[in-house]
Amino acid sequence: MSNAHAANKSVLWDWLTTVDHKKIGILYLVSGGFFFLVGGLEAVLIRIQLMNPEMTFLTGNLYNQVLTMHGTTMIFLAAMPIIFGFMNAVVPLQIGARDVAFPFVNSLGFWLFFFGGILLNLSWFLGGAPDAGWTAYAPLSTTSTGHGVDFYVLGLQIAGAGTLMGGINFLVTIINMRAPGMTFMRMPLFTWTAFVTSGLILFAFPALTIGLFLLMFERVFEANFFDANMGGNAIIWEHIFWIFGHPEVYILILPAFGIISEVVATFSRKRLFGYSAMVFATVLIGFLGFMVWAHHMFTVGLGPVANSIFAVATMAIAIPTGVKIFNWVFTMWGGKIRFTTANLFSVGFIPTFVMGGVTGVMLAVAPADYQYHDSYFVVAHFHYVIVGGLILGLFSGLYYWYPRMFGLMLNEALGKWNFWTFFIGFHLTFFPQHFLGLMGMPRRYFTYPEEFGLGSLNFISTIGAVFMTVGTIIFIINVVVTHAKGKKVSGDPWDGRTLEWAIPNPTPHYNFLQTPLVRGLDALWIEKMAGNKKMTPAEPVGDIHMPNNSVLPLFMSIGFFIAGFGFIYYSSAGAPALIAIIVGLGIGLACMFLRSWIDDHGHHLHKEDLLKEDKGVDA
Amino acid sequence: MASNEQPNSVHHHSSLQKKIKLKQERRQHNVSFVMMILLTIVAFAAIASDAISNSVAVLFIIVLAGVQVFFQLYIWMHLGHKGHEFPMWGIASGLLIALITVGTLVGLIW
Repeated sequence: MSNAHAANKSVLWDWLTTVDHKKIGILYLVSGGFFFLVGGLEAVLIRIQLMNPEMTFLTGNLYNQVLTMHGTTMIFLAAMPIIFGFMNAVVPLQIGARDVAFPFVNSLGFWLFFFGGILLNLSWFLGGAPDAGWTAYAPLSTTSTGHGVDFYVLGLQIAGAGTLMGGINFLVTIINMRAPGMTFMRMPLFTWTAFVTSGLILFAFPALTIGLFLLMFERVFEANFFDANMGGNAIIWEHIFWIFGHPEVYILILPAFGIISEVVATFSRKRLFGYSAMVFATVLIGFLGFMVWAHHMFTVGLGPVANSIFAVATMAIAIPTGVKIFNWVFTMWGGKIRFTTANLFSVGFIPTFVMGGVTGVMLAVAPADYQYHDSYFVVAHFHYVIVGGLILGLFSGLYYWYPRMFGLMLNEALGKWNFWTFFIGFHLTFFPQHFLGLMGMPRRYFTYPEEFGLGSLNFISTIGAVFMTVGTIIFIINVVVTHAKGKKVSGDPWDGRTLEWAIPNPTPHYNFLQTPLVRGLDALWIEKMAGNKKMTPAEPVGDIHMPNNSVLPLFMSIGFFIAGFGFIYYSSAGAPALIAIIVGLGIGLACMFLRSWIDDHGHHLHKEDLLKEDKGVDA
Repeated sequence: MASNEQPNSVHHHSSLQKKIKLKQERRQHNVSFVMMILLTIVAFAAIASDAISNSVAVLFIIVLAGVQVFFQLYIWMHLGHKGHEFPMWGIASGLLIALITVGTLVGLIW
């Protein structure tokens, strides 16, 4: 078999069946970007409603739905997939691999996420979205009428399965597929954070899976896990959710730390300061992330001993995080700094994230938390760490890796406009919310009376949201302009330090003609300093083994999507829903059977063709 | 998930020693397969019958589950073989986190 037959099929078919990590990365990025826009639209609607006292733009249950979907969409359908997009696009290149360990599972993970997200958002058109908050606390979620929360449960279950697969895939990839010489302590920091994040996914997502199953059984099959009248306990949901939910926020932020570490080092033309301390801090944050979940529940009444333990554990996380902040600053110190858009976002990240971290430590003080809890202070805090941390990091990564992913350079002038409008808009939106919280404005309420005096700060906050919207639109314009008439760039436009910049542009689909030999941290930089134009190869040019494309992941995901519909409507529709469940699961199982039954050994690219192709790229 | 394996690369030079080892392993597999089914039946019987009290039965099936995990990991997933240090690390850290989490959770709720 050769790769010739793949070229005959249409472009669309190629994207639907691809198992190439670079293409799956782009799929993740585009669909995550789409959901980011949807979640952003919901955010703007929320800000319009809260702009003035006693607005009637978006009230009651509809507000609850928009609020719930904003949180759920942003966390699960925007942030997670964009992170996976970068992990797919960058990690195999950074470790000198030709693909991930399980290309088929990689594709399956994407399609499960995609159909889970679509399922969740279809609720808008089918009788109403979930309305119990992104945390779906029982008994609010168990007693919510309509099918909204059922969409939440099934949509997240399917998307979550995809995420779990992705996490396992990257763990195996990073452990098994590093190029010769790429020891653990020579891995670029983004790969390290991807590794730790994948570990957190492996340990945290099963808690969500179980929680969602319990909630599903409670809602669809009338179980009583969280119903106190029947001997259940509503607090168990809070525990299970946050046992997942707290590691989840580290799952989100660690890859951003990785991106910042790459960008700051590259644009300071210096090796990352304190590399081993950075690695240690990453692992420590990941470990401590599992020990702090009850700080979301200080006001539940766990008692002073439990609250104190979790308060101290939470504050402990500030130490490794502080190590990271100082290391970034020291990396820049004495460096030859270039303020490209990517670096602007990274440098903007540092003080912004510190502010989010400081309010985090404030919230960790259990007695004080009784005052902050469920107020806009909390809203301000987590937007500072998620938007001011993660999203700035993701923008930074986009501008940094765009040439690698698409072979084109995003416009720097538009990029700077993007940064300043988004950055100023962000602080304008969320800084006043600290004070709104301290003045007593509760989160999740759809309005406030005029005499509370919350109007002016809320108005400023909404103006900030407009700025952020403008920033995002500038980014979209930038993408369109870049693809319409952007100039092609070389494989190493930033004078990079790590292996992903050692590849010509556009990236060949086998990544490396010869697996590179890694001689230290910042592998490419070492070769540059030694006066070498290319990486030293670890093998002669030979046949390359590549996986075959497959449409099974797509159909398998469609099967579970149909079954998801069946489960959602099972309690009200009965027989037709049961048919959907059987058909959907049947499709899923049939695809699994086919995957196991058909031997698929992939194909080989032959040495002669590769050499011809390689010359074509160089010329 | 053998998509990355090249065809015909595995069984080229199976010497006599390897054959004997394979035979041994096959026997282990068969024995553990039968044992696992038996253990499942015993566990089911322990719950279905009223011969032993519920609290004893719960402890009993937890022990049986432990044995099943051992069979699964060591016989079927070859955890004892060389090159499984990473999975061991993963399992150990997973157990640690699960233990702390479940322990704390139980302590907090009851």
